[in-house]
Amino acid sequence: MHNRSIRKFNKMMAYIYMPLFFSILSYGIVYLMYSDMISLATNVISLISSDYEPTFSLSNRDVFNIEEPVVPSEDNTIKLSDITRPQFGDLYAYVKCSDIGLDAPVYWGDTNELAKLGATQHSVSYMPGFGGLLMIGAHNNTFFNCLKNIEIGHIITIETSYGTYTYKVASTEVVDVTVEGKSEVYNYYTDYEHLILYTCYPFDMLSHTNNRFMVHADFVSGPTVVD
Amino acid sequence: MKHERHHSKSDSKLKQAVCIITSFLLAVSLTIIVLCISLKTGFMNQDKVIQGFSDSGYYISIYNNMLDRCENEALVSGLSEEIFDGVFSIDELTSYCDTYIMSLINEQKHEMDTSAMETKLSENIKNYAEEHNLVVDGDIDTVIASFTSAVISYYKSAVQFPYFDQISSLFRLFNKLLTYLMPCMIIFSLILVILIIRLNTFKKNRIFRYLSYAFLSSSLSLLVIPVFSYITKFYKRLVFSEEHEYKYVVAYIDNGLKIFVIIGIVLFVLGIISILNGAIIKKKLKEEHVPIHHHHHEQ
Repeated sequence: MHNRSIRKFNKMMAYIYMPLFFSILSYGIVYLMYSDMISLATNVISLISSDYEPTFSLSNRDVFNIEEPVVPSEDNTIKLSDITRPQFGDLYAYVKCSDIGLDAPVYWGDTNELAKLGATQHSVSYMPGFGGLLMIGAHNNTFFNCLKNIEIGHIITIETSYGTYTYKVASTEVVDVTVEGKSEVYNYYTDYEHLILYTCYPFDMLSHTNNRFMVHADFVSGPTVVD
Repeated sequence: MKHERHHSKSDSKLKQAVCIITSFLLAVSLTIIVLCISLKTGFMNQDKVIQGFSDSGYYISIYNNMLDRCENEALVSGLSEEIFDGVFSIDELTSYCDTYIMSLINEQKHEMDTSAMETKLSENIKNYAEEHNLVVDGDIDTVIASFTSAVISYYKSAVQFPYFDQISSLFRLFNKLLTYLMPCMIIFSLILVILIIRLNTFKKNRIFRYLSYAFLSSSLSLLVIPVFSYITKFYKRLVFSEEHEYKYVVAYIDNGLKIFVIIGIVLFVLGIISILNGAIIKKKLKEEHVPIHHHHHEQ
């Protein structure tokens, strides 16, 4: 009786271990036959995989309209630690010039997508108050179309969450960006604060162009950022 | 007498071994058959390819992406986004995408008629240039034609799914393979089933035992990798530069895996039915033998 129930149990278990054995055996055979292909496939998959699911949406933060704007101290300085540094794609300032009707948001970074939203600042250049070169560009048929009316002496302001900076237009020029030796226009390592607004040139023309209209403006006032 | 009994016992063991090997071979051939069916109804199904596009919102994404590129081109050329009003339509792009895919799979020629778009775009640019007094360096028609051709090339590249010409050749290869492999495997399986039946003429319940081994084993073999993939979702970590391509590939793999899981479950159910059938037949056979045994005992 006992032997019979053991036999019955074994027969029942066979429905589990036999299919399992068959599957392991067939997988083993396939692995032995195609181990090279399998390792190639797994290597390719690991090569084109990352550790996380990708995120595609570029969210543009607004670090201009922060809840508590930073107030400069009596000696007109601001601590670096008090400033919210923009990340790529963030709106961090507004560039304005009432003389020509310029009023454009400034995004940190320089891409076609950002250029649709406003003016873009090359992330290699400096933020206002850091004593370096600021390079801000925009399309000549949208935000910077009004630059065609700019004149020497006009005042340009850059409003940030840590203060308003004023610059005075010193000169304008047209530069062919493909010509060698013109790189001094893009010298990022000046030891004084200086603003360049640039856009495609000529204005109101239907074509691609290598020429850029550059507005050079000298620093007038604004709080200095210190460590 | 003892020698005879020993002989019949070794015969029965040999028969059992043959049955197990046959059952294993049946499991392998069944796995190949259902693998082909799963691929044909899932990953290698033209309709599923198209379904993946709509499930992932592919058309809307590539439409927006293409429009974005065109608008960028317009902005750097001194034009505005408004020149694209009435030029493109998402329905037309959807239809071109579908036709492109089907023609590649079926090895047909694919041509896109973009002349209406080009005409409308040229008109819009001319109107915009006149309205905004844009200066043109050279002949306006030449400038417009060069801009229009750049825009249309964006449109065409949006319609053409990357690497799909290589993928479609895989589809064709699979279809060819299927026409030879499927009949061979079906015939082979039938032979194996007949062999199992012939070897177990007097113990019919065993036929279902060996069939259930085969069904359950092929169900297990078919389910392991898809279920593992479905649980770990490793394919969601694949790197793609474009969001719409990523979404499409994930939706396509999801749909294909679902088919594998469904067919695997069907096989598993068939295995269970075989077990139950075997048990019912065994019970019947026992019932038929009991009175004879009783009678013999009484004697």
